[in-house]
Amino acid sequence: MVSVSIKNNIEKTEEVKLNKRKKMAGWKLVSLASAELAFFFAYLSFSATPISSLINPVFLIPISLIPIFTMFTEKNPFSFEFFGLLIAIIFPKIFPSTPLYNSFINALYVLGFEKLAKSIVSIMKPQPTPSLALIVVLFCFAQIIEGKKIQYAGVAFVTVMLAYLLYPLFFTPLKSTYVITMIAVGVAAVAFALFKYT
Amino acid sequence: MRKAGALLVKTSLYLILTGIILTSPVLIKLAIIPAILLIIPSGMRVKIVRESWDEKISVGENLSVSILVDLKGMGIVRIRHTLPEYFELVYGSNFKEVFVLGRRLVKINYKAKATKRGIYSLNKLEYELENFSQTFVKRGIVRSSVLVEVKHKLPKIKKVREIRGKAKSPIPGIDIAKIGVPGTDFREIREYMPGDSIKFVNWKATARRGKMMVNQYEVEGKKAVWIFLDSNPYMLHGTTVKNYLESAVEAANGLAYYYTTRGHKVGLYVVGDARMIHPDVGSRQFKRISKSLLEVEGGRENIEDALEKCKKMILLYKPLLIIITRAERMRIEKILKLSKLIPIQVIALKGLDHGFSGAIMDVARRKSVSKLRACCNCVEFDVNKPLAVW
Repeated sequence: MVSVSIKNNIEKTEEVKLNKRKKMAGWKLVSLASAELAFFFAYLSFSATPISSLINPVFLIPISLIPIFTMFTEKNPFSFEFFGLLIAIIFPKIFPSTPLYNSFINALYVLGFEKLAKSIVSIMKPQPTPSLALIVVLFCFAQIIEGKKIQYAGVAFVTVMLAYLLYPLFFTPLKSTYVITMIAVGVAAVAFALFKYT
Repeated sequence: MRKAGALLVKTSLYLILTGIILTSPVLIKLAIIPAILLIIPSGMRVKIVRESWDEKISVGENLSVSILVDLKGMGIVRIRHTLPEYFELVYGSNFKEVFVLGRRLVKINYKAKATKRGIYSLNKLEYELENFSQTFVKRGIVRSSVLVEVKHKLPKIKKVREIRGKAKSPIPGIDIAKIGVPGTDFREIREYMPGDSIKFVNWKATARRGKMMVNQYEVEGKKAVWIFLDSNPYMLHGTTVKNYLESAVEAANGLAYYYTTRGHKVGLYVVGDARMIHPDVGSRQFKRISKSLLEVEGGRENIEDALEKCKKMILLYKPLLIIITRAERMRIEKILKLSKLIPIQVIALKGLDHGFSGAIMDVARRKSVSKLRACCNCVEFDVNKPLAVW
């Protein structure tokens, strides 16, 4: 009687494991699709930069195999490391629009490396980067659906898309808050100075 | 916070840090996206609207539970009506996962098979709430009032057989009670004793003898039966569902019903739990015994000590003593002494010992049973057979 119940328990445990694997497969496929889509955006962004004339974008294609290999492990196919790698691929597109890049180019001019500065500028020109936001959104989506039932992928996608659409709205209040805070601090400083020194 | 939430925080910080290092406003702005997903609120009010269940069931029967839950708020909710470990889900599910936006009524319907007797409280309705971005989890419990009594099925004992032996028949069917309410059948005239009612004074006999004499009447009611149920650890041999203790409880319940319905006073003593119910008559007494049997968990106590503890009461009631135990574990000496004063019946349980050790225990049991049969009535009860057959 006892041995029969142990056998039943083992069978049940195996069944549970199998069901778990079946459930897991759903979110993993969605996560893999997100990772591949994000890679595609990163690839397009890289191809659009002048640097692609120096490094052939075709060499980036093997990177797309990373999520497929990761899928066969217990990890999320769209891992944080892969996300970091995608950011690195887009780097030539992000960097030229930063003050750091501009100051670096100016420094080269000042130091007398005009030719080098010009050639760098010709390779890395400031460009808009809409694909970066999509990559971030896809990464967030892949993290949210990890280990979840496939039915909730829709809810997660809608939530993430809402965040994507709403995030520019956060700048205005942040900016106004910043301005208001600065004005308040300025007024307080003037008031304090007037109070102390008069 | 869940793993996804932690990873979103990590992403946000990574974007901010990279943005600061590269002086990129784009990256800093994008750090808001994971942050938005983290601040999505979630809130839920969980309330039980209606609940229905079977209050009393027997072991092996299905318990039907139906609960209607009102959910108000937003998020993904998982509800589970917690089942005790001795219940086996046979139909439906005690778990529900739903997506709520506003208000939603959720019905939990299931049937579970009770595998062990007892009083079970199924009053925990656990819920787990997740926000839409599924980054935060909140857990809580709503108390319900589900209380279930799981009893053994009452075996239809038509007659308790006696075994031929050297001992005098202990079956109390025709015996009368030693103490109780006096009836109308005259027994004898005896000397007055303090406490005797004045209405029983026999004035003629008093005048004749020169001292107070009273009429003694036969008391009403049949002989008392006192069941001693052994709940020592050795009685737990077997599985949690089928063991000697469970069978002993079932037998005690059946015997209590048998004797109470026939007008006997029935008492109970659980050896180990030290739980005692004094002999009394009626269906209320049976209910009291039955409820007490539901709560038997087991403990350590010698049967000899238990008999010693109840000796005064035993000598007062002079009942039929029914001891349900494993005979091979008993020390016979005390029973031998006691059997000279009152009738004793021992129900020796068997049937769950297997293999070589089982054979040894079988020999020991047979030896004890033959010794017991020399002084009292001893019946062997195979726990694998239905009680009614015994």
